[in-house]
Amino acid sequence: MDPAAEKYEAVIGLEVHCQLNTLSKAFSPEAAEFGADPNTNVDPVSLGHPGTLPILNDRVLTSTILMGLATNCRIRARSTFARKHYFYPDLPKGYQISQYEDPICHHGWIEFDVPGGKANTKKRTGITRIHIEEDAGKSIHDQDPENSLLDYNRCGVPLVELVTEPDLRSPREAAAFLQTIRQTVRYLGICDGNMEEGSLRCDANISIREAGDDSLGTKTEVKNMNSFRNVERALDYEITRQIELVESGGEVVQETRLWDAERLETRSMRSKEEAHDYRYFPDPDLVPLVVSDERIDEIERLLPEMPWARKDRLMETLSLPAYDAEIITQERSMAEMFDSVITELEKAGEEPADVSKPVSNLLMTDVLRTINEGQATLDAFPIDPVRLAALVRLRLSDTISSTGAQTLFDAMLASDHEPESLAQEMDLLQVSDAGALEPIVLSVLADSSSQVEQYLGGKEGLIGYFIGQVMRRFDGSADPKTVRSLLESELGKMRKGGSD
Amino acid sequence: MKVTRDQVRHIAALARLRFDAAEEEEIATQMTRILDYVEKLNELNLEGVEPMSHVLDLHNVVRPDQPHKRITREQALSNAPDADDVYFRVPKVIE
Repeated sequence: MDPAAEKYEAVIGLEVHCQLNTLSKAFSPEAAEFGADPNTNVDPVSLGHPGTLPILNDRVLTSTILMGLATNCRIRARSTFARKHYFYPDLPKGYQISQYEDPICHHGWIEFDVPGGKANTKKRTGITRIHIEEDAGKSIHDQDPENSLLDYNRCGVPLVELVTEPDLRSPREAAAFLQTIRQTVRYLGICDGNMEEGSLRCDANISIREAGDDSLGTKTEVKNMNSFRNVERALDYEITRQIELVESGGEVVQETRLWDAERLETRSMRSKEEAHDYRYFPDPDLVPLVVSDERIDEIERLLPEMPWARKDRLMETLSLPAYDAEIITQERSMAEMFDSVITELEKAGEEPADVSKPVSNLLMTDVLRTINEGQATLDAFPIDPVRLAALVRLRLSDTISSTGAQTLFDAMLASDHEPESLAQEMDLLQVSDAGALEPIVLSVLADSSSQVEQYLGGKEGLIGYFIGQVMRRFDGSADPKTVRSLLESELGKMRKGGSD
Repeated sequence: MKVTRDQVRHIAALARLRFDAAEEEEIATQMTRILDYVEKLNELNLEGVEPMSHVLDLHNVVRPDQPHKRITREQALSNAPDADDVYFRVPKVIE
């Protein structure tokens, strides 16, 4: 970093929009699905026809309160809807239904790890508000030279908007915060968190000040950052731009700037300047929302164990390494699969803390590989926890080898047979019975007298040679651990015999 | 409270409306009168009274999350000032 940059620190606040995955829209009953034929999911309400009345989708309320509870917000007992006015063809009514003075959730916070930050130090960021609003339609400018075309399928799809306090101090923290929000909405099952498809969107307010200064500098608003990578890049760019501006005697102008991911720069979006008079007022078409304590309790019961709590539990009660716990809790379905396999193993008499690492190995390698190769999804994984547990036990008891376990896993993906019978069919069971192994061990030693001599003379590395010879006679199906211990005991006997 | 012609022009611009000088004058007078009328409320002691956001004594009018199609695309497009078979059409908007 150049010395001028070190004088400054960044102050960042985010506005995050999450598209809720309800079946129908926020205030009208047509489908809210993504990717339908243009203008097939429309309704007189979302098209803003005169005389129509919006009615709130109850699931939008549940999802928003869930989000508030997961982020330690206070839930307002009574809140109202407001109209936010602006003219743009993607908004047929001429206003967006939103919330203004009394957002349903407020005064929350969330804690998260910052990659590359101090170990075991969580960053806490305040959440100013979370409110309900509706999405706009989609404009297409490049298909017709004379006109813009409008698809209103997205118009009226429910959004929650989350606004943070200006607590973030670096682009890396901002990206880590956003990752946590993505993980949270996915755990809650209220939004798919896909930034590229726009179901998770983020704008940032950013300013710089001399490190140690408490006052806030003039901020710019950065928009159009449609990936986690772009959020970091755009904010890095904007910090450098503001520092250079101030260092060269200029002043930061309060404005909206668009991130251009092709040219890797932010550019002023002047057209928006004059229009910033939204004339919010209470929407007379929508009656107030009253949320009782009973309703909040009911929704609280829907809250799953959140990733940060799960991670701590896996580390504390199951002694799982931090790295494993992080990967396992990344997605809720993965974390639940892990817990179910552990439960199955516990039922079978295993000590959970003893089997947690083998289970996490199986999930982090074979299961994740299968998902990443697109062979299956976590939500409909072809091997259920009962069979995964059985597979882990076969390996733990050395009934199958580690390569055998992998072959068996792949076979289980395509078959619903029990792993044990499948292993038998595929001839994957290891011979670990000393009675069957011993004659071969003795014959190998008898056939390798010169190597035995060298071994007894101190070349103990030759043990690998003997193991290899035995394994070869079993076509690899002998349990190498048992083979090794049998060999060591036979060679030990010879050594004793020799020295006597 | 006196509404000025400048304020009328500002509000008109926000609503995408345009008036001539005489109309601006007339609207300014009318809006001044409306505000003066509402000013009457200030004669009451309203301390501790919550602003009313709705005239009906109702709350939580909601519907279950069940998708239901009420109009077809053809019907939706039939009311548009301009459309093709798939999209609503508006004069080019350039960002």
